Amino acid sequence: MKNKIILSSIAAVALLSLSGCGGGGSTPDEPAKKSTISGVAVDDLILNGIVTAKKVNGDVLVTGRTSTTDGSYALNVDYAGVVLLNVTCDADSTMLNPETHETITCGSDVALNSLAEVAAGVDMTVNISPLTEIVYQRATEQAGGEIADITADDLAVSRGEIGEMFGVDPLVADPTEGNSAIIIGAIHTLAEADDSTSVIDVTNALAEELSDGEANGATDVTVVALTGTMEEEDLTNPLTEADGDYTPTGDYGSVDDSDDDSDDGAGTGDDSDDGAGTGDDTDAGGTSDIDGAKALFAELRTQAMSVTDYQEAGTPGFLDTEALSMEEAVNNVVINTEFIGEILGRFADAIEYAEENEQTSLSGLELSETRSATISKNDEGSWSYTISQSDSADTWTGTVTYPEIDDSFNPYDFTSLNATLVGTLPLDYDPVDGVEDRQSFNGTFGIDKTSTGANLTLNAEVSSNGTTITLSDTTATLGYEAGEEVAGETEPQFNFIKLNTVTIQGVVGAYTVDGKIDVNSYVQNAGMSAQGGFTEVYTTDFGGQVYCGDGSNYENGYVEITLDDVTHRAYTNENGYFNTEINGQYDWDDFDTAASTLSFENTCPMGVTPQVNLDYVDSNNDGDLANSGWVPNDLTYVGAISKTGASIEGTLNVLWTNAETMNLESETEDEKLNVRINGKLQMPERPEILLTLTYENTDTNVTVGASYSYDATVINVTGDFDAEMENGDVVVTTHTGLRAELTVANGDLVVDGTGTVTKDGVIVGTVEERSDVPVIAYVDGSFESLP
Amino acid sequence: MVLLNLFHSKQRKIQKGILSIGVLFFGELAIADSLSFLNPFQLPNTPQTFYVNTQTLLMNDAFSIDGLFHDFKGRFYSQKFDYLAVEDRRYDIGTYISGLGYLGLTYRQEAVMKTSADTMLLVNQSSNDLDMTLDKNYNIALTIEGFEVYGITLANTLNLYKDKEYSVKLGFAVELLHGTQTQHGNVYGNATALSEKDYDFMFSSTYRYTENHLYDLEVNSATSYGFSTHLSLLAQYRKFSLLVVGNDIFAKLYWKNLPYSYVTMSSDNKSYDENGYVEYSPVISGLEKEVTFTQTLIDKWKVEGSYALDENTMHLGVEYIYDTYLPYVKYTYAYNENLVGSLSYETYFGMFGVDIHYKEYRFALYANGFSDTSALKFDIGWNY
Repeated sequence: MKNKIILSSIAAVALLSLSGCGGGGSTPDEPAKKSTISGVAVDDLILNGIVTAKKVNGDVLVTGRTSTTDGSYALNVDYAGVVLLNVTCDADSTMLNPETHETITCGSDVALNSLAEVAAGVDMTVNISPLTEIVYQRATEQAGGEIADITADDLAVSRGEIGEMFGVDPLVADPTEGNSAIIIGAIHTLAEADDSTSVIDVTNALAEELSDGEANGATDVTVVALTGTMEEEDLTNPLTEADGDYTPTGDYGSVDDSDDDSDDGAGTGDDSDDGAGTGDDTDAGGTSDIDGAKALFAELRTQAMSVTDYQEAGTPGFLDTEALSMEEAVNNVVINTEFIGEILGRFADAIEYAEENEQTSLSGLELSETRSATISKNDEGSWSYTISQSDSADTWTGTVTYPEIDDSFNPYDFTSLNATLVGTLPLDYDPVDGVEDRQSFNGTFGIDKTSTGANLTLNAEVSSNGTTITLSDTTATLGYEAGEEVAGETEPQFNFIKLNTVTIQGVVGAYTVDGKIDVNSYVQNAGMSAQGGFTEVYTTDFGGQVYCGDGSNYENGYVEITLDDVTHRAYTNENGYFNTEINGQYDWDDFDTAASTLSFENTCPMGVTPQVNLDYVDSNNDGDLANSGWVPNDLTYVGAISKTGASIEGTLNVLWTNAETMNLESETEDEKLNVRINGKLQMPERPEILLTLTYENTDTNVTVGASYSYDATVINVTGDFDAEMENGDVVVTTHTGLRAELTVANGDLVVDGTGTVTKDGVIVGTVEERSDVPVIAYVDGSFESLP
Repeated sequence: MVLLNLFHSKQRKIQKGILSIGVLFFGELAIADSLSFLNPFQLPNTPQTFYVNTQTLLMNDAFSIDGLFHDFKGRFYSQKFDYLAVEDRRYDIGTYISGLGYLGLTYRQEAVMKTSADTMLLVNQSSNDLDMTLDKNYNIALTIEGFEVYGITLANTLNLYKDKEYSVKLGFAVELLHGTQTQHGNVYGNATALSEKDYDFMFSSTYRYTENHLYDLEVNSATSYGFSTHLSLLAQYRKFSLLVVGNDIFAKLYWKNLPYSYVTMSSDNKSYDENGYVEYSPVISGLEKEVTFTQTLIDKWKVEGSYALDENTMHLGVEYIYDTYLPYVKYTYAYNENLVGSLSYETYFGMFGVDIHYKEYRFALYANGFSDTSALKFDIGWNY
């Protein structure tokens, strides 16, 4: 790309061709004078409501009704300026709960206002909702309490302030979706908490409290209550972060008045011989729409790319840097949980052996060439252990308690079983250099019988060399039933295990981890369900050496053995060694039978009969957990990872929408997920960024969303793509009415000018390309490449 | 004797004619130059004489002309100093009107581009899939000035002084011009090869144009009006003469609504704030608008000294354009008053030239080689 860019520039100029016809610019169509204002009216969805558009002095421009199905409306107005929109209900109006589809009476008390700054001939979207009512009342206050005095500047100020507080565009953001819907849902929740209070009542209370342009946590009780409700709905915005005590920081005054003449943006300015004249001719010191758009894309460039700079990992991209740092921290963790598990198994076997042989201690339990263990019985169900090292004075000690399980134990009828391990262990079987060869473990494990299986609990803390990991409040459900009877006894038939919740806390290097996973629900996958619960899968490793006695190179030779009518082949290396793993459970005896004798299929060079020596046969078993088809389909993680000066925390919710029907063995079928991440990101020396990320894929399309806000910046990005994410649309909006619409076709951004950047419907730029680089070409003639 | 006298008489007449041709040659005979000049002395100065003259020049010192038309894939002439490229066409037709002077129509097309050595090296390497020079910092510098105009030319000459040995003449011409195309801009920056296939770059361009060759951009057409002035001065002493010709000495084109672009491009679009955090600038940004623009045409000069000896004339001169001097030597031989030929060599581009002037017809061909030619001048004219 770089080559192409620069060469097309240099080479094209170098051609020096003055021939060719001059281009013919197109003349933009004359805009129609009338404008269409459209949107949706929401308390619940207001159906067949009366919508009136007025001048701020009260003169009615036009009246219409909302849709009888979805609350949408559209009005044509022949006016440019600030327009007051109002929705009310009459006897023919109703409301519809969009979630329950319940029809509700729309009473005479329902009256919501909104405001729009209409440009002549420009269509725009403005909704009518509790949020717009708050904007309306703030604008009225801004205008000195006189509706007739509301100006575009008042509207911009009120919209910016309310938008900044709630982290959405209060006028344009769809109140039936995303964060706006959550906010309005929270208002509903507040209203429903008191039978005598309606949504309109709560809205008016909020509007009154916020009419001074700030949220005062000490006095604005409704705002504080709403803040708590929004937090319960996993919404993060400046209000929730400040516990309802927030003063907007943005400068929303001095709206751009240059829209009306923006169509002459090509300009006829004087010659700029200095060449560096990149300044625009918008209003001095004002927040022009073009400046706002440039600031928007500068934000997208700098903030988004500062967070993730994948081009140069390790350089200042925050997540890159922290990911590498975290990786290094994890690599430095020396806790060996696998060793802990294996040692516990060894102790259990040893204790079982001692109990069977009525011994109170066992010594010389060999762990490695230098390390061995001794166990001794304290009292019933409690044993101490000591691990020592032959060439040092180091010892590791602890206590194991376990439930007494004798011949009378009935796995289908007991109350509870508990086991503990408290003590220290080395890091591995053999000494580990460079770190303190010691890890501490304190864990309890419990099983409580239920009618269908058991409930498991686990609490454990393991630490070593500055790293501490704690699993607490871990609960899982175990399902089992009686299996086939063998020798008069039945072994439990394992059906499933369902993790319900686990809390993970710990310190890993400089990072502190604190989080909780809740599996909210499981569903039974049809394909997995047919495979049953837990089955054991056996494999056998065998290996040895071929010997011809003449120093041959044995590479590419192989030995063969037939077991149960299946021939297995193991290739030899240049020295004649061979090894492989086969399915099935076999031992030495199986290899010794005449039918299964190993034979070297190559010929020794000197004609010597090859000697095949089998050195080992190890049989292993592993569990194949089909879990009776139970898979988690609704999971929530709430937690944080933090270090000094930096943190990321929030809530992750994952819905696996095709968990029941998906063919898990298919290589072509994908999980269909609905993911929402809501939280905040704190980078060093930077303001805290509030984030909401969403992702949902279906058979036909993928939708993604990202909202983030900090200080006076509120940006929302949504993408709607086909299933392959090759074609789709991306919309970027701010809380002040800027909107960029981008189209992706065949994986590439469409740069033919159809993509637009608008401010409340007025085009301020188009998506084009310069030397194959996508740019936003603004109507004042300036342009900048996209992020 | 009579025959002898006649012979001598005829011989003298011929010799005088040759001498006259020789004296006239360097100032008034339309023998070609390297650049496409308008020399008022070469325009007709007698009534009912029509003048047709075409001059076409295409020369550069980087690529063969064939390479220019084939994506720079022709021969590349490497050098360590700036490259110059000139495209220069001038077509004139007119007549002499008593009491007024020469009045004619002209069509002119001219573009001059100067580039740094690194710029053309980069163009050559990239166009021919050659590896970049690793870690080399390419200094990118390119300036271009050009125009296409139609015009009316009014010219005349004045004999300022004349005696038996000395003469001084002044020629002047004024053109009223209508501009239809222009290219006027520059590119400055640098590029560093990071690998054989990738390099960092940064450059900016200031560009006024009627057709955007820097990047694809459809623009409205623009036109201009303007003027140009040309002068020539001929001083003659016996067999020695000195000619000075200046074209576009004071020449302007006044453009309205001319497309203008200021563009910056950079691959290294990251900077760091006081906390060490990256801030990203656009890869490409700039400003496009329409401006009024007064374009000053590039002045061209020629100074030539000549010494005529019978039918032989030796010329030593230099032409000048865009801070570049084009020295040359020329030898002219007059076979008779109907046929004059000359051979020349221009040292900057290394052009050899042949001029033939036969009766009312003129023909000239200059080139710096038969193959991989990078400089070519072709003139043809006719007086009747």
